[in-house]
Formats: sequence, C-alpha cells, structure tokens
Amino acid sequence: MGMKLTMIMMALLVAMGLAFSWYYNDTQQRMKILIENVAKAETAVNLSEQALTSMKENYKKASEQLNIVNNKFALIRVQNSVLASKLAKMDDLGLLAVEKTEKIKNAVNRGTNNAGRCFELLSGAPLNDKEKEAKDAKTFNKECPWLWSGNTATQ
Amino acid sequence: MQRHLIKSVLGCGLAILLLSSCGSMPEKLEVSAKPVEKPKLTLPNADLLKMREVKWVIVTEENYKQVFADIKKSGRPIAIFGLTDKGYANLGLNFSDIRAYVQQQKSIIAAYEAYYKGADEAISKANKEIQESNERAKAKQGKVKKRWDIF
Repeated sequence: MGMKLTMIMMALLVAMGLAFSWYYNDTQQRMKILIENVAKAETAVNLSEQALTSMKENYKKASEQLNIVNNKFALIRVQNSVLASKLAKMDDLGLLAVEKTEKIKNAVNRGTNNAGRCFELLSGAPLNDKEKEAKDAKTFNKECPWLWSGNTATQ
Repeated sequence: MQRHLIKSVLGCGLAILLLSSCGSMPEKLEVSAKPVEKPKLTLPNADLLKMREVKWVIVTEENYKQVFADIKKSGRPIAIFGLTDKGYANLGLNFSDIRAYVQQQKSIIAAYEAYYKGADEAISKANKEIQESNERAKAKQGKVKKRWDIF
C-alpha cells in the first residue's frame, strides 16, 4: 500500500514538474512578447511625439513665411503707390506737356525706359555697368530704387 | 492525511492548469515606419525679359506739323497711336500694378521655397530620429531575448 502510494506520488510529482516546466516556458514566452510589445509601443509613442514636434515646427515655419510675405506685400503696395503720388503731385500733366513739351517728352521716355528696365531686373537680368556703379538708389533706377542692393527705402 | 495530501496536490495542479489556460498568447505588436523618399522638383528659371524700345512723342497744337514731318522723314507711315494725359497716367499706373504683381508673385514663390526647403530638412531630421528609435527598440528586444531564453 505504502509503495503504491509512493509511486502515485512520484508520478504526480513528475506530472507536476512537467506541467510547471510547460507553465514556466509559456509564461516566459508571454513575458518576452509583452516586453517586446512595450518596446514597440515606446517606439510608437516616440514616433507620434516626433510627428507632433515636426508638425509644430512646420506650423511655426508656415507662420513665419506668412508674416514675411505679408510684410513684403505691404512694402510692395507702398512702392506701387509711388508713381500714383508722383502723378497726383502734377496737377495737370497735359498742361505741363503743352508748356514744356520737350522736357516732358524726355522725362516720359526716361521713365518708360526705367520702368522697362525694372521688369528686366525683376526677371533676373544681370546689372549693367551704370547700375553696378550706382552709389545710391535713385542713380540705380528712379522707377524701382528698391531693387538697388542694400537699399531699404521705398522711394 | 495521505488523502488530504493527494487532494491538495491534485487541487494545486488543477488550479495551475486552469489559471494557465485563462490567458491566450498575446499577439505581437508590429509597428512600421518606413519613410518614403520624395523626388526633388527641379524647375528651370523663367526666361529673362528684354524690353523693346518705346519712344513717346508729345503732339500739341504747336508742334504737330514738326512731329508729322519727323515721322515722314523717318519713313514710317504718318499715323499716331495717341493717348491723352489721363490715358498715359493710367497706362503708367497699370504697368506699376503689373510690376507690383510680379514682385508679389516672386515673394510668394520665395516663401514656398523657403518653407519647403525647411520642411525637407525637418523631414530628414525626423526620419533620422525614427531610424535611431527603431534601432534602439531592436537592440532592446535583442537583450530581452537573451535574458529570458533559459530553456
């Protein structure tokens, strides 16, 4: 009876040992996967944070560019009003043309040439000798003095 | 006493078996973050402008004969495309508006260029960080494997 009981106990212990071994391996496997998942989740969180940071940076850059463009637009509008105020100062261009025909004709032709040159410069044309040697914005081009390098004036 | 012992052992074994069956094997989490390379846009510059000469003539009651004579002398047909002083002023203002428009377009293009160049740098930086992060995660997983692989 005692021997039988010992055998049963031994069999039970072996079965328990095997069950424990399987249980241990199974648990370790799960732990391994879970730890890997944690690492991957950490990576995913990092990626999300980086994406958010990147988006914030891009938003900031977009705002900066918007401000720059708005400032440039304001400056361009001021520059564009120069001719209008010049013409407004001349009470009557027609009368002036009758009185000083030759002078006005020369001024008009000079202005037209200068205005055409402004378009050339805006398209990226290289500076000619006169423009390179210009010491101030007005000598550079009276119609677009702001294109003179180093010039910040609008008139 | 022996029966009680057998019952305890069997009970414990059963409890362990039941508990171990409660959970299923967790699924492996897969995170994919492969950056996609964007091809560079290279565009040619716009053509340079070369403006043609425009010569204005002012015709008044006093000088029209002289003007006509000059035109006749130059060999051109005697026809004048005229503008009043108001028309001339408007033409000048129109050109000024077009010039301002060109300048505005140029500043918009410059802003786009500056923004996208900056964005490209930010994307490269983020991609680098993502790569480093992935490598760190892989290294961590490798360590985990070595630590737990007993059997």
